[in-house]
Amino acid sequence: MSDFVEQLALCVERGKVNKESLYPPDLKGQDGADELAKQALERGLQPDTILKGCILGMDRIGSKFSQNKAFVPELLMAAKAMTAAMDHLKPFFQSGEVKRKGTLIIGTIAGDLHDIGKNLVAMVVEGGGFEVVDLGTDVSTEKFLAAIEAHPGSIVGMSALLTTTMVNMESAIRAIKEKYPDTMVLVGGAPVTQQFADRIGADGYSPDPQGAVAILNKKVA
Amino acid sequence: MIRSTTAEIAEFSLSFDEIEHDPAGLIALLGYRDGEAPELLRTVLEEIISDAGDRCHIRGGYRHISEIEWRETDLCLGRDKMALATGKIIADELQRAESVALFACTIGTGLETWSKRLMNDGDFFAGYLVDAVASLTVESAMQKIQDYLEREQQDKGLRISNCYSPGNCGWPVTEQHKLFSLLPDNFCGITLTDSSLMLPIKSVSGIIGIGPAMRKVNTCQFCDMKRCVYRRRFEKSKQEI
Repeated sequence: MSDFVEQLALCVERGKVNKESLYPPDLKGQDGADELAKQALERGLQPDTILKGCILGMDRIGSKFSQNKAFVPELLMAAKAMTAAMDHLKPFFQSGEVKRKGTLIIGTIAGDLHDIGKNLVAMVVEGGGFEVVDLGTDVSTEKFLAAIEAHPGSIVGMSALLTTTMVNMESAIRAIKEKYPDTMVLVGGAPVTQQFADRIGADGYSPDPQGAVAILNKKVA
Repeated sequence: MIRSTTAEIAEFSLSFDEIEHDPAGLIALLGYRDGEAPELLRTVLEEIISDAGDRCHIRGGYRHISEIEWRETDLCLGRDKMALATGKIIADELQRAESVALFACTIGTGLETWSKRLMNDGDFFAGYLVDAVASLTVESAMQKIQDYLEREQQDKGLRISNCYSPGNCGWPVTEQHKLFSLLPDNFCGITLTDSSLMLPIKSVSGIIGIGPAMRKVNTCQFCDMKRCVYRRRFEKSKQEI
């Protein structure tokens, strides 16, 4: 089993989606995350081993990204490979046989239409074993509140790319804390800093996706 | 490059092919050192660049304003003396300008829509690269317009400064509304949201100083965004020197 986890983790980390994919060139012609996940289920391995392989692979590429040893394109290829493996787990998530660590509700704050950073965080967090509810961009406070209502116990992540829109996080956090005082709120985005996060009452801040996963893991530990 | 000018306003329409597209430069901007990027990246970028031309509608231009006056770090422009609160960094660089050009440039919504469609279809890799090509295209288009302005001013024995934009170097992005109020209505088809976001998203705007004492500086030294890709390029160029 540990061989399988390691093999799948390698495919995810390197962005090897399936046998047909030409990337990365040194794994050309070999099975990718898609085939490995399928074969694992056929061989009777527990579905959560697939999740373990995905988490390990995404953790490795996420750490490299944090250290500037990998860049956004590699992170995206890894996420694509992870999705190919995770697709095989959908029925097990639905039946409850495989459980996620928790749920992150994520969205770009009201007034802001930028979504690439938010999407990166969503992918890495999903690869970290969490369910992600993506509310998209220009998300109003009401929409965040409705999502918390629909997903009790979830954690909220907010992103902003503009200095004009990051200030909208403060009122959104205030409204969330008023109605759901126990809900943890993480913030991020290019202009956001730890000092700003502290000032507006956010519970966590990370400059990169892997940092967000570390905060979430700590929360659910 | 189709140009229409009046005494104050210059407007340009550019084709995608008039802009230099440099996959190697883009790869470096994504963070990679020479030869380190996956080959797939170069292949996909080349495919995107070859398909992007029909999706771009590049328009840009500037308004040349000679009536300028400084009130500390506020730059008052035109007869109405509209005050732009550019902040100290830009004020220090532009104090000795004799005139300024307010500029805007956009590539339209085509690449933005293409990128979003790819991402919605689950191809984040290609979607991200289309977005990166779009960002570089609007910057390169503006560079061409800046080059035109520079040549025009050089003929008069004058120099130009860097392009400075709201949201950078301490100039609040909310100042976009004032800046656009000084440009003709619907200039280049760009509109602003309440949060000062330009639509189409792939647009740039700002100010350029003009005068014999103007100079170009590397603005990374003024900025505190430590993780920016441009800073990485700046640091790399410093190392190479």
